[in-house]
Amino acid sequence: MSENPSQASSSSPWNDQWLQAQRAYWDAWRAAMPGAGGAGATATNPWTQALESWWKSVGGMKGDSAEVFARMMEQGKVFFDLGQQMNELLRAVTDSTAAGADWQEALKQRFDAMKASMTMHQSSEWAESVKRMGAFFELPLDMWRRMCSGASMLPGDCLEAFHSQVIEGIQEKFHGDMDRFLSVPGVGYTRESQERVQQLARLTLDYQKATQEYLHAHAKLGADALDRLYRKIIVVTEKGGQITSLRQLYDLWVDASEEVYGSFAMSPEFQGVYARMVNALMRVKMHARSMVDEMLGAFNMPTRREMNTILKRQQELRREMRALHKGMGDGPPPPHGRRNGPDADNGEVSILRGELAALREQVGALQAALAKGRTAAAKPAGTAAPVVAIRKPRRSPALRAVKTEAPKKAGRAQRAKSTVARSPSSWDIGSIVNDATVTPIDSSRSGNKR
Amino acid sequence: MMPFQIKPDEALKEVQQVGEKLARGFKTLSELGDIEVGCTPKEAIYHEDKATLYHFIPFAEVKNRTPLLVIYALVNRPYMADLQRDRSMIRGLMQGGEDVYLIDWGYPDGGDRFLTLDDYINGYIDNCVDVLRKRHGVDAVNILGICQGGAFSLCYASLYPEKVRNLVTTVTPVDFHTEKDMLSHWVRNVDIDLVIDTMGNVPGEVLNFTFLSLMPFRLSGQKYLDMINTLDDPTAAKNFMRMEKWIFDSPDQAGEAYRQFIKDFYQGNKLIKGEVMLGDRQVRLSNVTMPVLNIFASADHLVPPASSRALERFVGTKDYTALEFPGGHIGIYVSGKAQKMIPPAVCDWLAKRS
Repeated sequence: MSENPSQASSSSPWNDQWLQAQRAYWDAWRAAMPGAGGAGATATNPWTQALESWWKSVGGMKGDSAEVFARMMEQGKVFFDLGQQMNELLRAVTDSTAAGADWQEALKQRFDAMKASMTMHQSSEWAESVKRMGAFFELPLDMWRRMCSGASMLPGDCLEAFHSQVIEGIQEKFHGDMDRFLSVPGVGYTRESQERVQQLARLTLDYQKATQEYLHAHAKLGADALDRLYRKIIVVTEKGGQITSLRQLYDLWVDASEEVYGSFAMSPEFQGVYARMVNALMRVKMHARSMVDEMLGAFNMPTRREMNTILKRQQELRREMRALHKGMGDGPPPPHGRRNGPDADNGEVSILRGELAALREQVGALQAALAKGRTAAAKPAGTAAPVVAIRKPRRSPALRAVKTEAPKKAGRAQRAKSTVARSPSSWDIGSIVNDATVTPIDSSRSGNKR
Repeated sequence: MMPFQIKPDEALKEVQQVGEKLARGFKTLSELGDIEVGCTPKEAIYHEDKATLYHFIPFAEVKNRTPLLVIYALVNRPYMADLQRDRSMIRGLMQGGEDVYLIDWGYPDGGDRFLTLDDYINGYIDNCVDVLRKRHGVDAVNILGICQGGAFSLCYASLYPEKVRNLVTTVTPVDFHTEKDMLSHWVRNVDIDLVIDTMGNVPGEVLNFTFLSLMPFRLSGQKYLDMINTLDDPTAAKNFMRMEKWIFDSPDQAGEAYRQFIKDFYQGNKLIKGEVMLGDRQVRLSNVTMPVLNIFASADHLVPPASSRALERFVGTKDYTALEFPGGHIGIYVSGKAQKMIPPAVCDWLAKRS
């Protein structure tokens, strides 16, 4: 039996060996995996079917890896379908070549048939296999669908279920009819409410139309990529190269797909359909939100609009505060809602300054008293020295908080703060002044960097 | 000559191997456990709202007394620069003698919806820089900006040149209207005001979708087939999963900041025109007068090299150096080649200007 496909006939290994091995492998897999393989499974590609059956039998995967594995499964299936298509393609080409036909022409015919299966509404098993392979080209669309799932007001993006050629015919009429229907003016007590619902339906239809446009623009990609792949295969031949593995062919196909997609994605057409789809979706969501707000307002509940007003004002106030702090030369503003930032006490600076002023006053009074005491000592006995009342300054709440949260190995700045609680005679006023504005969270490693 | 030399038995073997590897990979991935990221020990030294300033605890001699502040983008998470021990730009910089700090923006939520670029740049970044200036007793710090963080670094350096001693930008978009800028092309006609007014914050999923859509077949297809081949090796699988975790770890974007970034930078290309306003201050790249090292990637699919290269034409510095890395937007931080090239080049460049 020849292993060279170019010499193969219709009874070549590409017909028999491939299919037999697939079935044998599938059976072996099912036997090895208890519970795998559903009864009555009729997949055209047993590899894919085996994979799906096995996946069901193991009950999926949990945790971080689950999503990744699911993606690998998908690509595994794409690869299996590619194998399936290669089987068909090589058989056709080698048969044609054996009959004396030009291999390039045979290859082109086969590629044309695959393109037709991607774009036409066909239901043969082979066409289904091509479409599964073509699903690869729906990756950008699939990502979009998943991203905005739930955004559509119609179940399952119902218009997407129509084939693009089918929808093309009825879309215009359908939208026209719906538009007329939705333009019937509302009357009576519920007029405004009715108009809002009509507007929502109108916007939803616009979004469906824009999505359809986007889908339609993408529909050509699969066929264009096959054209590009064909040209790449020819180039490989012209350069004297060979394609010796399925994986090599898969990589060529990915290259072709990216090139086609890249050109399309940079085109004015894509720019237009993309923007129209995003903008249409946003209009639907915006309108739906305003309807929800109306309802919440009716129940005297907070609305998104009110929340935005409050949040906006709050942010503006904080911005003003920041400007004030910077204008005062206070350095970074206090961290909001935290007590352990390096400038956690900035908000308490004015308290500290007040305390500092009181301390200075008291120290001045003390020094004056001492001076007077020395003078009095020189006076005759019996003259009493004046009494100076020294009050322990009240610690600010912030300082209490800092002391509570300070790590055991407090650095210089922390130590400076903790000295406030000591006796007045041990106060290091210089340290307080210098370090009042910056308190690293953990200064044990930072104090030695200066 | 017919190019297909695929032997049936070998093709069968290929398909069979994919199936077998998937089955074995199931076991490998199931046993991987938690995926840890961010390998270098660090301490938080300053918090403000959801932003945190981290200090990476030195494990090597600090040779450069001027601290290096890494400013990351708002999109994705900064542990990409410190993914694992053998793929960490941060470690490389520390090994080269830098004292490295990093701003982690956290995960904005609905309460942060009205944060603007002014708040980020004149607020958080400036405050972090001030903390470092005081902590180290220096007038100015070194800054390294990553991607969008590089654009922020440029804005900051233009507004506060006296506080930036040296500036390093990596894969930083500067000219947002270059020919191959796919992101810019896509958003040109999108009504960003409508998007932000509708959504408030921009969900991380939108960004994931956008970035994957740049190369959907490679990033959502081929990559996973490649991965199947490495599933036998738990170490390789774990490395892959770290990267995967990072890719899909996308914080939501504060609405107002996103609005301005898309409108002013992507749609209006105002950075190079000197028309970006942050609060009441105008960003002029001509004010960037400190030494600048601009690193970009030749195969960057997200920020075209031409977009980064444009910086040379607009900055005011007389000490400008450009460095081209032969790789992609992410590879510049995580590839083995990058570990050998980027951190040493940055450290060397900084050392000569310290």
